[in-house]
Amino acid sequence: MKYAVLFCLIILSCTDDRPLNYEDLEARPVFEFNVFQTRYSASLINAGNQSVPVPNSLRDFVDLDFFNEDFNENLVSLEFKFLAENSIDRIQQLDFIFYDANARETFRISEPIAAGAEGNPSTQEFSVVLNPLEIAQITSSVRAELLINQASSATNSGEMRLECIVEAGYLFSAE
Amino acid sequence: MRSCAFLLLLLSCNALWSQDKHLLYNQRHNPQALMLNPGMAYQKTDFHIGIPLLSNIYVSLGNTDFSMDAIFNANDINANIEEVLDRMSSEDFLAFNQKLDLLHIGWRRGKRYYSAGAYQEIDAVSNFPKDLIELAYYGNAGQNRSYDLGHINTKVNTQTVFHFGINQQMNENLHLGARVKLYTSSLNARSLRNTGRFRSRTDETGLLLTQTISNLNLKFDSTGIENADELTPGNLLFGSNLGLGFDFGLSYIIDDKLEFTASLLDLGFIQFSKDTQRLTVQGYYEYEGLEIQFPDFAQGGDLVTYYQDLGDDIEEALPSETTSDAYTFVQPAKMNLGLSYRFGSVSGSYDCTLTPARERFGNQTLSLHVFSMANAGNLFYSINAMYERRFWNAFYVKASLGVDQFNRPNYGGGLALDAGKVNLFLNLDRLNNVTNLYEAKALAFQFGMNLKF
Repeated sequence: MKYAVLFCLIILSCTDDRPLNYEDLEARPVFEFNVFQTRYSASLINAGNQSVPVPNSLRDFVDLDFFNEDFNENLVSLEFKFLAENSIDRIQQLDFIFYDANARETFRISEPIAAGAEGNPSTQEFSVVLNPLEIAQITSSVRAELLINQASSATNSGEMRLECIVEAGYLFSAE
Repeated sequence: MRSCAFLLLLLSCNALWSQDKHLLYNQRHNPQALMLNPGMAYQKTDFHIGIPLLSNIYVSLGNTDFSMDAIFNANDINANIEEVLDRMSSEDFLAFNQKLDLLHIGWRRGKRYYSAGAYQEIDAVSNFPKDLIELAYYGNAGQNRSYDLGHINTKVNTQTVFHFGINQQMNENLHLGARVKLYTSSLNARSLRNTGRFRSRTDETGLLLTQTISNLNLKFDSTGIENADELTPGNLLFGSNLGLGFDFGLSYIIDDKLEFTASLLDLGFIQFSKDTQRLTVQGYYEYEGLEIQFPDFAQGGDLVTYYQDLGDDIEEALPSETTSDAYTFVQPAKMNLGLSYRFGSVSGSYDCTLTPARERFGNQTLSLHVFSMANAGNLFYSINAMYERRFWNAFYVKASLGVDQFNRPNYGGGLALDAGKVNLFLNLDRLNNVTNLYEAKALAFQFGMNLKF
C-alpha cells in the first residue's frame, strides 16, 4: 500500500529541481551546568585532611564516568569557570587535576587565590578554556582531584568559598 | 539520502494531518461515504462490496509548522532551521493518519441498508515540545530561562476496527443511521497532560546556576511497546485489547433542493489491559553542584561517591513508578455538518429504483461542510464550500474551496466514476501547491474502488 501511496504522490505532483542538500546541517548546543561547590574554614585547612604528605592541604576525589559517554565524542568546546572568595590570610593554591584510568594526569588547572581577611575577602573569578587537544585529553579522564594547599598555617579565622561551573559546547553535523 | 529527503517532504506537508474527508462526505453514490455519515441518504442499491484492500485507502502526514521550502531554499540551512524553531509554538504538531479498508460490504433489506466490514488504522499525533527542542538545539548556556516539560504531548494508536452499521429511511425526508464499532489494538502509546519545568538561571549572589526541575508530573502509558519486536502481523491486525464505539448520522432533505446532514463518529474507547506499562515520574529537584566534603582520609574516611550519590538523590527527589495497570484510551471523536443545495438539469436517464427520488432534481450541488475533531488536546477543524457536477449520469467532478486554521484558502478536487457496477473515486485535497510539493502547505489523498449491485 505504501508504494501505491508513494506512486500516486509522485505522479500527481511535481517538484522543482532544487538540491535537497543537508550536509551543511549543524547543531551546536552549548550546555552550562554546576560542577561543584565547597566551603572550608581556615582551621580545617590548617589541620589538613592528612591525606597527602603536604601540610596545610585539603584534597578530595571525584569519579567522572560520564566523560567516557558517547555524546562527548561531539564535544568541541569546554570552559571551566570558577569563583573563589577567600577570607583566610594565606594564599590558597588551587589545583584541579584530572586522571585517566591508568592514574596518569591528563589535565590540570592551577590557580592561586589571593589571601583575604574576615570582613574583606578577596574575590577572584577565573576561567580556563580548553583547546581541542586538551579536550581530547580530558575526556579520557575517569577521576578528578581537587587539591588545595597553603604555604603555611593561617590564623584560625576566615574561610574559603569555591564554586565551579562548566560550559560545554557540542557539534552535531549531518556529514 | 533520497529516502530521508522524501520522508522530510512528507513530514513537512503542512496540515496533511487532517482526517477531514469533506470531498467524500455525502457522496450518495459512494458506499464508502456511509463511513463518514451512517445516516446518509445513500443510493438505493441492493448490495455493494469493496474491492479488498482497495476499497478505501487514505493517508495523511504532516505538520503545522514548516514546509520543505522553509528548510531547503537559497539560504543557509542552519539559519532556516533557526527560523522554523523561532516560528514554532508548543501548539504546533506533527500528525500521521493512515486508514486501509480491509473488507466492506453492504446490503439492503426492506427500508434498511446494512453495512459491515473492517479497516485497519494508524493514528499518531504529537505536539512539538518546543522548549525541549530548543534546549537540545541551542543548549541552556546563556539562555537564562525555563523550559516547559509539559510540552510533551503525544499519542499513537494502531487499531483494527470491525463495524456494523444500519441506515434507514424514516420517511420521505429523513434518513437516520448508526454504526457500532469493535476496536482491537495491540500497540498504543500516549503521554498527555504532563507538567514540569526545568529552570536554568544565573544567580546574582554567586557563580552557581539556579537549576531546578519543579512541578514534575510526567506520564507515559504504553501497550505492546516493550515487546514490540515480538508482535506478529497477526497481532497487529487483530489486537488483544478491545474497545467499543459508535457512529451516528442523519440526513434531512428539507425540500427538493436543500439537504442537511450531520454525523458524529468514533464516540468510543479502547480498554488497554494486556501488555500495558504505565510510567509516572514526579517531584522537585534542585541541583547546586557536587558539595565537596574533604573527608578525613587519615581517620579512615572513604572516598565519597559523588555522582552515584547524585543519582540516588535524583531518584529520591524524582521518583518514578512503573505499573502494568489498565488504562482507557478515548478515541478522537469527529463531527461533520453539511448543507447542500441541489440544482441544474437532469442529465441522461434514471433508474428510479437506484436513485433517491429527491436526487432527480439536479445534476449539480453546492454544499457547505464543517468538520471538527479533538485529538491529543488539539482541535482540528475545517470549513469548505464545494461544487459538484454530474456528467452523463456516471461521472462526478467536485471542487472545494475552504479554510482551516492553517490554509486560507484551501483547494481540493475529486473525481468519481459510477458506471455500471463499478464505483471509483479519487480525491485530492490541499491542492494549493500541487505543482511544487516543496512549497506545498499540504496535500491529502484518498482512493477507493467498490462494486455496487
